[in-house]
Amino acid sequence: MAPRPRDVAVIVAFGVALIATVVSPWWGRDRLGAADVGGGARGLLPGLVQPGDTVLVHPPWRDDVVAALRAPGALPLPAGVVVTEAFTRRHGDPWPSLVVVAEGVHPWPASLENRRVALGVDVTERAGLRVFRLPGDVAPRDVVDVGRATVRVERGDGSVVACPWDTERRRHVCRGLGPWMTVGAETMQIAGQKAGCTWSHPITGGRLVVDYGRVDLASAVAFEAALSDVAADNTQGAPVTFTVRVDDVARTLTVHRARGFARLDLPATGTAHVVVEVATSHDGQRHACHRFNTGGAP
Amino acid sequence: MSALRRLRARLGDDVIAATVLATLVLVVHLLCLPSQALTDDDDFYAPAGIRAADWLVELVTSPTTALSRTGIDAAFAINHEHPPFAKLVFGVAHHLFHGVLGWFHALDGARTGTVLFVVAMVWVMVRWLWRPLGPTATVASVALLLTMPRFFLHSEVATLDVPVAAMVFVTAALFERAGDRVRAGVVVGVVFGLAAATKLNAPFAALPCVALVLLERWRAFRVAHADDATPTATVRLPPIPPALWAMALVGPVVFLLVWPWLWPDPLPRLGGYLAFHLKHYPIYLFFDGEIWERPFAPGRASLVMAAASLPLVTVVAATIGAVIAGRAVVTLVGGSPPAGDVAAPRVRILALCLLQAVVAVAVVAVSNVPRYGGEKLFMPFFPFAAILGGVGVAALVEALQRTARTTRPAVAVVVIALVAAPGVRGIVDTFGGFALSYYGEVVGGLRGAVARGYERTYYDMADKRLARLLDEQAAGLRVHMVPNHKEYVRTWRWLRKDGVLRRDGFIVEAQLERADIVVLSHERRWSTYPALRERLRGWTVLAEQRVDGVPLWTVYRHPT
Repeated sequence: MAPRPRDVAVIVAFGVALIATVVSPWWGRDRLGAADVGGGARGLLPGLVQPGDTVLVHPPWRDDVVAALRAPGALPLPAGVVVTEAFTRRHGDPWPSLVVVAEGVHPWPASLENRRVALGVDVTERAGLRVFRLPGDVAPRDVVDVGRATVRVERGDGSVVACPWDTERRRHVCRGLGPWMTVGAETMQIAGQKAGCTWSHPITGGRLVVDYGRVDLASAVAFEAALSDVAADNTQGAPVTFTVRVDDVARTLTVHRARGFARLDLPATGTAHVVVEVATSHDGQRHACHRFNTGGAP
Repeated sequence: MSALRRLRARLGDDVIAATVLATLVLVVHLLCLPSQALTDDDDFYAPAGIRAADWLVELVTSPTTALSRTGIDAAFAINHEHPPFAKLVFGVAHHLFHGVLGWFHALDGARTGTVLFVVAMVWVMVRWLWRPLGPTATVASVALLLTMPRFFLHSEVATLDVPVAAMVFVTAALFERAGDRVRAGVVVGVVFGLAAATKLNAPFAALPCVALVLLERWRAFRVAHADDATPTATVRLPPIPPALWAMALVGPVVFLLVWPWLWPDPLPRLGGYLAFHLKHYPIYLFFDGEIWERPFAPGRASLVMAAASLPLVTVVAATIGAVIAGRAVVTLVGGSPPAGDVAAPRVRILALCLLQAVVAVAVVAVSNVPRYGGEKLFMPFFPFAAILGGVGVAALVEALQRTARTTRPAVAVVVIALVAAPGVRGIVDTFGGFALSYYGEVVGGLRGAVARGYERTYYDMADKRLARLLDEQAAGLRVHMVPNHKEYVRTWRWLRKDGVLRRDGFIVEAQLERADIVVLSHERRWSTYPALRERLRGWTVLAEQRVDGVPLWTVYRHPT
């Protein structure tokens, strides 16, 4: 009597699953050593990488490849290019420009593939490597440059804490204070939407001072400040006051229990010295940020 | 007649098998538990449980004080965002296994409470399935459940996920068995109330029960047209099983009775409990190569994690079982008699298991909640998936026996051993705190998952290998842990308290800048991870934990 088709199907399904289980580790192994990837990358990357790019080595466990590519003289790359396997991005944040170097056998994340397809970028394959460049999102022109600002915390007891720029974290970090005491670009949930702004968390009884130096205010500018939605919804949270000093003129803006950006129009004054001060009576969950937008009332 | 035969005649094979298998599960977990890592949730639920159990003692020794508002608040304010049933079990287990018997350290004593839930679930599982589905499907179900690497870890930590899975499972089993019996239905109501008092997702177990009744009895719906005797048209409902009434009426009463925190201000505190979960703060999930906070990760993350966190053989077995169960649903819909009588137990069990498995995942996938922590939010899925897998394995055994024209039981033994083997291998490879890095062959194991942009671990880190390593190599040095130091150190206190770490060992340092040693957990859901990785590249690597070549944590020594 011939076996029933259903029985055959069940036996085959389990057989395939067991075989796949056995071969899975072998199938998922790395095919290329660090030196092979480095050699291949040397042939593929120099014409592809542009200043400011991040070279993303994929899959993320190939720190040996990163070390090989970072070795002195291993790879001639434009200034400011970082080679890393440790890249993460929050959903909704702008994309940096990436050059992906991936070993051919391993898949890559759907977010990366979706962006590649959306941008119509082709993959170059050679010697077991797959390489492609994804241009970053174009950021709007900033009125101020937080990277060039001088940041400090003036504490309630009169002491001052400097917050130097940390090149790796790309933000000012107030040494010795809580990990949230930084100033830098951030994407926050504000009024139900992702919004880019400059993270500027206040400190209880003190002032966070962000000194932008001389800023071109040839046209009207809107100063905007907000709490994250979670912080705005917190009924126990204290008000946060932003003081914007344009030369000798100070204007204040307070954000408290309302979602969304509060706005302060700064008139066109030509070049002026701009300082932002952030203060609160209690800093519990005061996830605050600010930004300058062109297009303020004249 | 031998003693065994007399025992079989007296108790029945199902009781003996249930007791043997449950005992086996108990022994395995109690032996493995002391080596298991700590999760950050241990520190939430174990202290709450111990305090709640102390209150039970107070209730006997000084009931007036215990029942006062102050006494209740002192005992139950801690972790009051979750109901107390599982925590009470943790606390009682702590007092028994740590305090009275002295078998375990303080935390492990509390964690035996979770093991007790698993043991009870296995016992009920075998009793429930043995006769309707047969020994092969039953034993295979237990084997598959016990060899799910992630479920294995969750079974040994003081969290609410496996307890709620067990309570949902027991509720479903008792519901199916209760049929139209009133007393059995009341028992279902009580157990359902205890399940609701375990974790918030338990009440969703009622949906498949209602669906089962509708599938089974829909033909009993009747529309009586208007006539001279009855001037208005009426709709006659099918008979509603007493168990459903009890779930609706007895369950909430038990829920309130079990949770003393609610007693002083029932409505405000119940409202606070619901509001907390309806507006649950976002928790990061790394999925598809992106960090998700708000919006929450897409619903398919739950479906992916359900399949990817199981061995491929288990997924195939459960899929075959689901097809068979789907046919049972069709049978139920098409074959139920008009009077609304119950169908054969096998058909009902298969349909209910399929419905429960689907609902457990779907509730997380379709609702507007943060989908964090891999598979932990839909833990009730796994026992039902194991049963569907057991049914699939039984189908394979029958297919092999028919094809080979044999009835030898050895076929079943070999097949069960083979399908359980990948899970056993996964448990062995990830034992001691890395089970949450387990991914099945569906996504190419851990390497495939990490390449696809799924998180390599969660629940922070407090595995005992790392603890002992720091004890040896960092004595007197300042240790900082990133990316989530404040959560990590909370859990590490238990290791000191329980003697895993020396009290005069390393010093926990709150600032990375002042640290001699930094432990980096490679959890990519933290947006600070890339910068930390960069910052530590120049430091000396003292040790690294890799699974399948994927780094999970690295211990760095400051270069100076």
